[in-house]
Amino acid sequence: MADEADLLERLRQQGISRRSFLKYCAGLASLLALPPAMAPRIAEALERARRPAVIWLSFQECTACTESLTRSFSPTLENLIFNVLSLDYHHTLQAAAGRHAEDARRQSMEANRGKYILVVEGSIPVAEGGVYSTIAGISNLDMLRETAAGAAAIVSVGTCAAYGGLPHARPNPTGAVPVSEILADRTIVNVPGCPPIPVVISGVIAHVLTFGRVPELDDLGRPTVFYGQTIHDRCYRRPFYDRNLFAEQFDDEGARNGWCLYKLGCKGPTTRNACATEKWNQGTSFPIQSGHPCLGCSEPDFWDAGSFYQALTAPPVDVAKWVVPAIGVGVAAGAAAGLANRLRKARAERRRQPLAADDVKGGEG
Amino acid sequence: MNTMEMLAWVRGPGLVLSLSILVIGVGVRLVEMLLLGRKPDLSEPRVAHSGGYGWRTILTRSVLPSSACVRYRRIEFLTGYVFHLGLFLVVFFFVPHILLIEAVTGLSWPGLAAGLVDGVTLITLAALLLAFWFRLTDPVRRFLSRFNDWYALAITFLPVLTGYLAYHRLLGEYNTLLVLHILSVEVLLASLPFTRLMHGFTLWFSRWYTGQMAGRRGVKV
Amino acid sequence: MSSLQDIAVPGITVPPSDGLSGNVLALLHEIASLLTALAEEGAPGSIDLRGLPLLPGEREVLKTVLGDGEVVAVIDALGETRVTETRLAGVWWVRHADPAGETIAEFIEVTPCPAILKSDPRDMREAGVALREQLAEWTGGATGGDDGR
Repeated sequence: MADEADLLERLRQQGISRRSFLKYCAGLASLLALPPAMAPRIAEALERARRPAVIWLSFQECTACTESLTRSFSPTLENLIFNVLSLDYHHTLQAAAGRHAEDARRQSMEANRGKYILVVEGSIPVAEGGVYSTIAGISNLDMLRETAAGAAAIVSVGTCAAYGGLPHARPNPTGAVPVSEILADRTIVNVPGCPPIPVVISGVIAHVLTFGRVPELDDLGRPTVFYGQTIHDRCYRRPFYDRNLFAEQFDDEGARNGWCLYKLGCKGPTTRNACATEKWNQGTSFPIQSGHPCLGCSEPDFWDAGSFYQALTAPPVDVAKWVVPAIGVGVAAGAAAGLANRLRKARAERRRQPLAADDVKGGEG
Repeated sequence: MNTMEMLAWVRGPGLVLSLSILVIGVGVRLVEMLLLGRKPDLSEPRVAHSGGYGWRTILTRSVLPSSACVRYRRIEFLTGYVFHLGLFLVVFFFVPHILLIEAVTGLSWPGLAAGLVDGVTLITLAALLLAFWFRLTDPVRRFLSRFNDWYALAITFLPVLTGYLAYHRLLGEYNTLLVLHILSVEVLLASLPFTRLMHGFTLWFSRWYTGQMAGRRGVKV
Repeated sequence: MSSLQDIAVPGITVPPSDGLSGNVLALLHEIASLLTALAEEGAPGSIDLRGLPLLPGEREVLKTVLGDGEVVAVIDALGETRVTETRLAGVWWVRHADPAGETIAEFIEVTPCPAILKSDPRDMREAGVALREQLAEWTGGATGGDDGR
């Protein structure tokens, strides 16, 4: 049975040599920011990995996360990892439809109970009992709960699944929530991004396969290996920030010279992701390299955090609207207090009775 | 509440709240103080128009250190100047700060390089610590210091410290430090009208009166 | 520690100082200390070039400074892996590419010989077995080899 053979054996059947395998493990170690000396250990662990089943649930999403992954397919690391997976349910990619698709999901859950990896793309609407998004008559909420029960690991791919994303943006008519809110008692690996970087998605799965556990996560449930540093800290344009060289407009000299995009609204300083180092489209570029400020798409509520094109320090609310009236309130209150003081003084003045020294009898005063 | 939610709060509602407290507080105190007026001085003035002395005093006491003051406590005097000038540069010439002011008021001006502001911040921190040390070790000033004085020093020091830590990602991750930085600034803003930090507004009036009164009495200013 | 000039290597070219940015200099210092560790303790080391926030062009400057040495090996394994010894003995530039020619990993390895060049013991054993089986087939005689896996 192909499913029972170990990874190296399957790869050899595909004509992949041990050196190729070692090379990919070196790439994986590099990707996971492990010391290069770890490559042989990864090779050893992966050699023994059984073919894991993956169930990929798509809820309130735009499929860009899947697109990000499938578009990255030259025979690279992502391909290698996905060749060794058994993608049992993914309603965009699978041939089956309707009841047959759902049967495939239930069969896989049954056969791999406690062993499969659950990947969720998209947020889950919970308003009105979850009627806003259903698949085969099953609400997203029910499908998630049912499928999560037997999963060995749960990965939220994309900002929608991780933090609610666009559906969760104000006014959130569908009551969209992230996976972590529904499965509060489970460890969820969040792989946010709109969409996430493909190698980050595959890297997380590779980590689970290699080490048999989820990677180290930060306080927002993200693997620190990919989300450990801000875009700003790893940005090749950082020296321009430090030297006060900014693009002020999209077509000015600074923009042409590739200076820092902070003033154009770059959210790099508060955004944690691997774009600055992993880049996109087989390492071609990333937004900042292409001259566009970072939107902060891998952070919760990036959609509601103020304009994309206003500097990070600009408040996301109209401060003047509140503070200008407050000045009036302050001045009016001060004037009222001042007038009250004057009235008191005037009253005291009126009540004052002239007193001559002779009027005072000893001991008083 | 995660870090990003806290950041969103301090950048939005927190800022509005603290700025509102600031402007209401400053408005009430300034207008009330000015409406109190001054007692008429019935003495014969030595100089006909003493207002000019007031303006001159604002200038001399703010820009040019008077030799009489410097003579006694040279280091303390210098420390005060350094941290005030440092605060001014850091607050008003760090580019992200200018962008905040621009977004709120529409006013903008050129900033200093982040690396330079970094150096100024370090000097300012050192000067503030020195000011704290002088207040702590000098028996007279220590005796005169009350909670308000220590509090004012602390809320001035913390925004600079947290800003420095955030810039260098020291003792924590950036977003947490940024939240603490903004929060400490908001505590400062909201406390300003009710502490001795109100001198940022009142000193101009008091300096003018000091100069004017001195001029009227024929005292050299 | 020691600077690049302290390493006695003939023929190393250092570009004009304006071409050497902070990142390149820092990497050269790291290579220098890795070389010392290799020479004194025999400990191999490597620098992962992924994730270094190098400015555009800095990688090329680094490559120019290190230059090409005597050995170039090309491994054809799911894309090309090119192993180049630099002008500094023991300092290898290893670039793994996928079949489309995109870099998947790039290292500077400081070692007598990069691991990927060495043949794997299991592969060697299997090769021996396979050769004996082949010989047996050709000569019709029995060989004493073990079974393959």
